[in-house]
Amino acid sequence: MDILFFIGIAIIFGFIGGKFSNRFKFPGVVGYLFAGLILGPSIFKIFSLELLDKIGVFNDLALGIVAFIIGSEIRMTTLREMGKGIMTIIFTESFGAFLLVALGVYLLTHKLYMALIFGAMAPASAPAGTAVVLQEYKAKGPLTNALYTVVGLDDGLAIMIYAFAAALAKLFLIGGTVSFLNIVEGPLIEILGAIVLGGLMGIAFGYFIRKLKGKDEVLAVSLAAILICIGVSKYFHLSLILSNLSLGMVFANLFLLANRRAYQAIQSITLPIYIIFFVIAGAHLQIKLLPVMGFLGLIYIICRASGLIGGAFFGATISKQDPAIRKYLGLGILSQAGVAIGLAILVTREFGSLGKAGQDLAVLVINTIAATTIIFEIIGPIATKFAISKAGEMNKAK
Amino acid sequence: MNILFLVGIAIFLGAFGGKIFQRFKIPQVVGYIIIGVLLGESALGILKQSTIEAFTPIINVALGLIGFRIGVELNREVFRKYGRSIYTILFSEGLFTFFVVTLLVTLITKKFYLGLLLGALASATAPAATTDVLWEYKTRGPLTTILQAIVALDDGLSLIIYGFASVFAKSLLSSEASFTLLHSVGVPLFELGKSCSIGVGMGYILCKLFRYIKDKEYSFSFVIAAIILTIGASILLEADFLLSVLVLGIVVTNLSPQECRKITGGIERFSPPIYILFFVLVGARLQPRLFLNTSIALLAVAYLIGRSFGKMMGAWGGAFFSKARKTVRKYLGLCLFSQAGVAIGLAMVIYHNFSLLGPEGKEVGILIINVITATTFVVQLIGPPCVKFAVTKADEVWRNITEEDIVESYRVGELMRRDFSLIREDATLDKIIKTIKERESYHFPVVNNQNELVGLISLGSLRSTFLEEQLNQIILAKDVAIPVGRVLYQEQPLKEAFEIFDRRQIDYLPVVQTKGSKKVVGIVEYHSLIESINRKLFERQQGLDEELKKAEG
Repeated sequence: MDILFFIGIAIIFGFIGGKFSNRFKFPGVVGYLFAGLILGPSIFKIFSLELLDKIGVFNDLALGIVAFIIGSEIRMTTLREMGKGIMTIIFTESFGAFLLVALGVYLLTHKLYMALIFGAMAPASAPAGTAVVLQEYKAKGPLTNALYTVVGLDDGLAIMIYAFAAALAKLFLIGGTVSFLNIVEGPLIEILGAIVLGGLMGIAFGYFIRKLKGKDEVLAVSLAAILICIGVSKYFHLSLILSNLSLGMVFANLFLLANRRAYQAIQSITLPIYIIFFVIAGAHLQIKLLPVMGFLGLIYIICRASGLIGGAFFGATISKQDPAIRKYLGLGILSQAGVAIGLAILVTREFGSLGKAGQDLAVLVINTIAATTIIFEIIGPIATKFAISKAGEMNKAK
Repeated sequence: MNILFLVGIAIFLGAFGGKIFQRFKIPQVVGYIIIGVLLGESALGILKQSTIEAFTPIINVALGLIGFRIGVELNREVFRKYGRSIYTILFSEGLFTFFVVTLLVTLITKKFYLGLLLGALASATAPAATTDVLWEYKTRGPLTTILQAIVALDDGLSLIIYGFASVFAKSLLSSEASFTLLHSVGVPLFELGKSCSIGVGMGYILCKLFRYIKDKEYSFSFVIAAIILTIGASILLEADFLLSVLVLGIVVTNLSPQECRKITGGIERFSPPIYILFFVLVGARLQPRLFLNTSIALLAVAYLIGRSFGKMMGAWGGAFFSKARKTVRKYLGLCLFSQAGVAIGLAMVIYHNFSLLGPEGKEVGILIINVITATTFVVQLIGPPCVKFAVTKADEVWRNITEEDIVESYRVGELMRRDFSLIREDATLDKIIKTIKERESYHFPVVNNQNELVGLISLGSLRSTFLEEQLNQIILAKDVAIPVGRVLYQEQPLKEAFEIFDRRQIDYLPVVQTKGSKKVVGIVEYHSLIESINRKLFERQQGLDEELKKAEG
């Protein structure tokens, strides 16, 4: 059957779901996800896994665009003003989630390697879930700025934390020695490479777009820049979120006017792409995992949420941030999706071959992350909406 | 390689190529296609045949957008706007071109279905390349008006012709053995009905749903989804999706015109990257080697000649019967050569639909894509110059001008006042007042013995001296003159003068001979400048409005 038929179905049903969830004062994202869940293999099976694979390019496309938009929202001036504070918050919320989850899992299982791996899953946030809500409600203000920056940048730290935790876990599981350099090398390349790639492309495309006059061409070229950035990142196994983020950031700060035009052009076409993205994400949710998630999943959910919220509160307090940021930032970054699942898949790849204990760990991690993602993907956007509405930053952007 | 990367590269290089070609006054479409040829298998081989196949959904979306936008143009208002004469010309040039090309191609290839298909494609005219020329040369007049109407409408006509031609061609190709009347009429009519009813159904649902959507952004996503769904459904039901989306567009624009206007901007913004990609892919599919085959090269030449002849004669005939002006009769045909998106799009649709009919169908599809793309090259290169020639001959160039255009085109020296009086710096107040009385001006440059500008006197600056009449003999011009702030020079663009006026909130400036010199050669006053600009504007447009009214009526 033709793929376009399904894409059309996905947009229409996603859209109806979004309207529906708006009626309950929930963000549209929740409705898109539910539409996907209903259409997907879990319930009505209109979208088969095979088909989902085929339209998987939309994931990369949507993530690239989200990252670009987040990057464009991060202003150098904001960073300079609250840079130190933001960095502190990123560290405290990430480590807060890591430590609490690790602690909880250790108390439950008494296995250190398991605690480390689960802890390392926790900091990864889903930028799309947060950013799309911020856009839907036209949020603007200090909390919004902080949210964009934190969800954008904390993926770098999440990758780092995972690298260390995984190395340590391996040490506990099979013994032997590891060198610090070996641990750091991979993720450092992944992170720095992405930043450098995005930065260079940002400069190159900035010069090019400045020369363009027509609005049509601006959209074409900026979309092309994002696509190329995604493609190159995938090819070299760099973080495509970070590379597009730095593309957007360099672009936004060095070429202010050009970026305004590119940003507007990109934003005008994003809605259908987001809808498809979240419908696909919803279809991927495996609802049958929910009941078997067990106590471990519950611990993970509670510890991750309180770790993120508490960590953000602590970081914002010691760096003397706005009260709005202190109270609500943690709530805004609860979403968990692609990045965490990506890390879980990495665990299966790295630990699946390490004997029985490794295999058990791999299965447990992937199932638990997949199951808890159902909760976090749905709660995350709702919490973000709650946060910005409490902070009074809704409907402030023109 | 990652497919998104390829898409990105194709769009970027396509946009880049388009820009470069535009610099040489070649329509961008040609640039996109050439980039495609370079990336394709016949040159660099980055876009392989298998990759191109993977892009099929994107191509279909691009075609769907083209069809939808043409459909949206066909609303009641448009039909009401143009008089009957325009429709006479439209049908005459479209149908005549169709007949001529069909006849010629059938004679050469002995294949009636091929003739029908190429004939249908021949009737389309590319609006973009044509209207670009009109814009660039600011044309205005009966030829321009009729030309704009024709290019806006004839894509719709050609799609309808295509609809009929393609279903007949299909039944000719697929059932040559059992050729009965029922088959040759019934099947095509059924096919047409199927495509149209999908479009009508989707359009109806869409319009019903429109009522619940208030947000502009949402309705845009919804329309995109509807277009995509229509394409998908048509492919599913083996109908012609281009016709379905055309009908979708027509239904939407006529049932809910207001909502439709809201979304067209969004659709237009959404389209360029997809179009660029589309043309690059068309280029990548082109096989220049095919034209080494003389019969194919001959076919392309025949198509070109038949189409040009058909357009010229058809336009002439239509203009003759509708009693249009002589310039329209003579030159309209020359303006209709351009061919681009629609023709190529239709060629792609034919390729898509006919390759389902087996190897012969696929061959036909490839042949048509190549003939159309190659001839597009030629007509895109000769089309715009022909339009330029025609509008120049019809004396409609540089008529549709605004005040801004006049300002842009002149230098200060050309519109300044030369009849001004200088006041010597040692002139007494009496003498100054005498000078002011003689001339109808409020501002006067003050010069020294070497005729160098030293200051300005305006009525306002004199006011304070009037109180002390007994000093009339003592006060000299240099005492009351105000220092010179800014001057203009003769060769300065007039636009800069206006910028200075605006920024400094003044209405008078002296003009010196050259930049940096102090020799006053004229003055510029804001109000009289505006007057002379309006006079120039009137001179340019004089008489044209009446002619236009005659033509439109």
